[in-house]
Amino acid sequence: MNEKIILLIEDNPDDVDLTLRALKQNNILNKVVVARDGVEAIEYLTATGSFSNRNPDALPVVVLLDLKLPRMDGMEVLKAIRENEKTKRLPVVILTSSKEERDLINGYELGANSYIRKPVDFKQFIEAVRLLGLYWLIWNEPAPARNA
Amino acid sequence: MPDIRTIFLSYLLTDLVCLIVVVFLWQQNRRRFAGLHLWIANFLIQLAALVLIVLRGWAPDWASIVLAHGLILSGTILGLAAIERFVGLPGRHLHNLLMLVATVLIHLYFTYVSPNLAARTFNTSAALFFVFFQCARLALFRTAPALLPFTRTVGLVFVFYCLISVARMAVALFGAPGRTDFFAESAFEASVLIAYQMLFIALTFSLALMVNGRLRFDLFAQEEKFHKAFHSSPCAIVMTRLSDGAILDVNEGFERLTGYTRKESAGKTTSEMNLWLDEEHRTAFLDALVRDGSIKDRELRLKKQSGEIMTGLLSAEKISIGGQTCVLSSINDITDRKKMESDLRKSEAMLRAVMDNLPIGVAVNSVDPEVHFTYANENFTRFYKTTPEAINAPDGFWEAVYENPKTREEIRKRVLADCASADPARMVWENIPIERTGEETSYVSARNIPIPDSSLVLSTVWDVTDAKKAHEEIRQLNEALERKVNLRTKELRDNQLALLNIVDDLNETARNLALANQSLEAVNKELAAFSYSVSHDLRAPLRSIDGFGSALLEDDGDKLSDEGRNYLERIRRATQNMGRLIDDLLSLSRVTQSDLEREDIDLSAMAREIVQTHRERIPGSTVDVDIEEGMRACADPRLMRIALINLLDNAWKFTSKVSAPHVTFGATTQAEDTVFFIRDNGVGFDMKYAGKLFGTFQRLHRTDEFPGTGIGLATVQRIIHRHGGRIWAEAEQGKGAAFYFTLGG
Repeated sequence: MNEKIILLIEDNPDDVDLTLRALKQNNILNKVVVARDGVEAIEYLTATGSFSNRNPDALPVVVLLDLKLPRMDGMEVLKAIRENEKTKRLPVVILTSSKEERDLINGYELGANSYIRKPVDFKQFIEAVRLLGLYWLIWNEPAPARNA
Repeated sequence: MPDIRTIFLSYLLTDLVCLIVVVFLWQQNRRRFAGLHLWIANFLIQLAALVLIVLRGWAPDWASIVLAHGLILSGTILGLAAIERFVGLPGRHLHNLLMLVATVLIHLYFTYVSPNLAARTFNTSAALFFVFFQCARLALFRTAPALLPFTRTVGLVFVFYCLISVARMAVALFGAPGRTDFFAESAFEASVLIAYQMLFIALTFSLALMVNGRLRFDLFAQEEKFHKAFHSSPCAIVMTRLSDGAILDVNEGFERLTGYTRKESAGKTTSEMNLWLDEEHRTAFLDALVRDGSIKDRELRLKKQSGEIMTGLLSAEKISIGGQTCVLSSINDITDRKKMESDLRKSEAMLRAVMDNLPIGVAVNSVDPEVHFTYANENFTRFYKTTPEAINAPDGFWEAVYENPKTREEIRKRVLADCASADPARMVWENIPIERTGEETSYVSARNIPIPDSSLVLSTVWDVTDAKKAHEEIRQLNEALERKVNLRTKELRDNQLALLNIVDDLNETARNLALANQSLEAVNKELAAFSYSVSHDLRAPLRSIDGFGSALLEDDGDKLSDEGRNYLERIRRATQNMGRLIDDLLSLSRVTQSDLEREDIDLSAMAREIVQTHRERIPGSTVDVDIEEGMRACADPRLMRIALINLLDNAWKFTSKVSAPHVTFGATTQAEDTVFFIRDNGVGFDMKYAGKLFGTFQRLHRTDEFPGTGIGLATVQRIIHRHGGRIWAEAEQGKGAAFYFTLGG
């Protein structure tokens, strides 16, 4: 439980690489677990499927969630996280291209902790990731683990 | 012992005296009571019988014995008939006659075949008992109760007769036989004869009493009747003495009429009572009475005790009461009748005045068999174009009114038939032509109204010539109108058909519109899906290009030539520009698609917020922004925010290159509309290109001068239009620009 893992749920490999690069550039060296779709993300969080040998109690410190995902989209993933007793307090930051009003509203209604729109300008993206890391990894105090 | 023959003789004399009494009774009362003459006959016959009996021995036996028996019996039967008549119950006597014949035959037998005095005595007594019994029964029981008090005595006498007859029958049957001589001494027979004689006197006496009693009763009843008639008569009756005029009696009618009571008027004269309004009337009345003996229905005026004057009809009769001449006067109060007569005269006069002056013709006349006029007013003859003289000639009406004999007969027949029908609906005749040679024919309408309880009718007539003319004119006008209406109706029908066709076309169009609407909705949905897709998918590659371009510059920038690096920079700028374009297009699309939700918003406050945000974003901005206070509008707040942001951004952008940038947001009123404006002192533009200002992707400046996508003002225009408002701009190259807008609704 000492390791502060970041769970990045993103299907676009370009975005995965750019996000990892942005994290790296900001000297955020935490372990980043990438889930390529919603189903994989839930399997990871609940230690099921291909992640069944994982310790289910080891939860990421923050989840970066894209909305447009194959199989199970971001909103469904968020809903599942909030409905699961173990994961419902997990900080979830929506990181997406959409600025649609209905996505914002749905996201916050389902319990997203933050909503960040990925800017086209990579410099701005690096800045956003920097602030994000600073906030969720350094300043934010997560909810205590239930069985700690 | 008195001699039987002597007794008979005495009986005979008694009978004679009684006969005389009965004759007197008859003479006095024959007019009042029936049957009295039968008593005379009875008594005469009895007398004859007694004479025959007295002459027994000298006269042959058939006369002295048989005839005498027959006569006695006949007389007694007549007596029965006499009582019957007196009490008003005449009966038939066949049984008595049969009995008479039978006993006469029995008598003959016991006289000639087997002479037997006792048998004859029994025969006579039985026969007499038969009749006496009927008499007693009639007088005591059959007589009406009112007459019983008078006949009762007679009935009792006959009861005694019956008893004696029974006794005589018994003696004849059971007494000592052997008496063959009728006149032989016999104490019983002598007693019987004396008793008969007494009863005969009693009978005569009771008859006289009976007649007298009834006479008295009748007189009393008569008096009662007169008394009642006198006193209860509704007429005022007064009885006066002719010699001095003193009032003897008055009735209740008189008391009521004059107001004087019976006591007050008794003994006084009518003059003393001041009844006569004029003394001369009294003298004239008396003279006439003395002269004619009676007066009938003389009208006079009397003064009542109250002083009121009344009119009365006086009838009087000179009568004699107790030897003195009296006057019986009766007075009938006709004051009311007089007043009614007067009222009737007045109302008749009024009716006549009304009828004389009615605007229609009125007449009272008979119709069948002859038209005879009792009355006709002036209009009646005027409307019929004739004269009173002409219609008053015997049955002259038809000829006077209808000149043409043929028309006259037709109308006359019709009118008589209609009148005979007694149907009020048929007694109206309209538009009858009144023709006169050399004159225009006029027309009248007439109506007959039967006058109740008489054979007369009220004939009315009025001139309808003008009405008929007017009617004809109206008819012609109506016809013309109808023709016009028909014409117009036809035109209307044609127009209607055309309209119907148009409606059909419209319906078709509406159907097409609905279809178009459906497809539009589908398009809108597609567009929404498209926008969403654009927002996600179009930006992702741009991020990759920019991201990796940036990575390449950072990681391997030193390996590239300056030119290569410049190219990479330009790729990145183009990418970011592309990103902005996508954002603006999405914004424009949202403005078009979202629902308009108006509410009252404070535009001034909204503008201040926007300026605040702008200043925070670009700290070095030196633009002076002047916002008018209290600008409010009923508009969609989200869309208005977008519009204001675009307009204000625009203003800042184009003032960024002047020395003292200034932006004003305010409002004025033009023709009742609130016009908002945002004015700047920036670079402005040439009004030549004002038309291109609000087009999508239209720009009036070069991007390197003022960056922009050319979508902002298109978005603003779309927002203003969606609110039903207008937007326009005024500008001058180098001197600034002003954007004006209204918000409709």
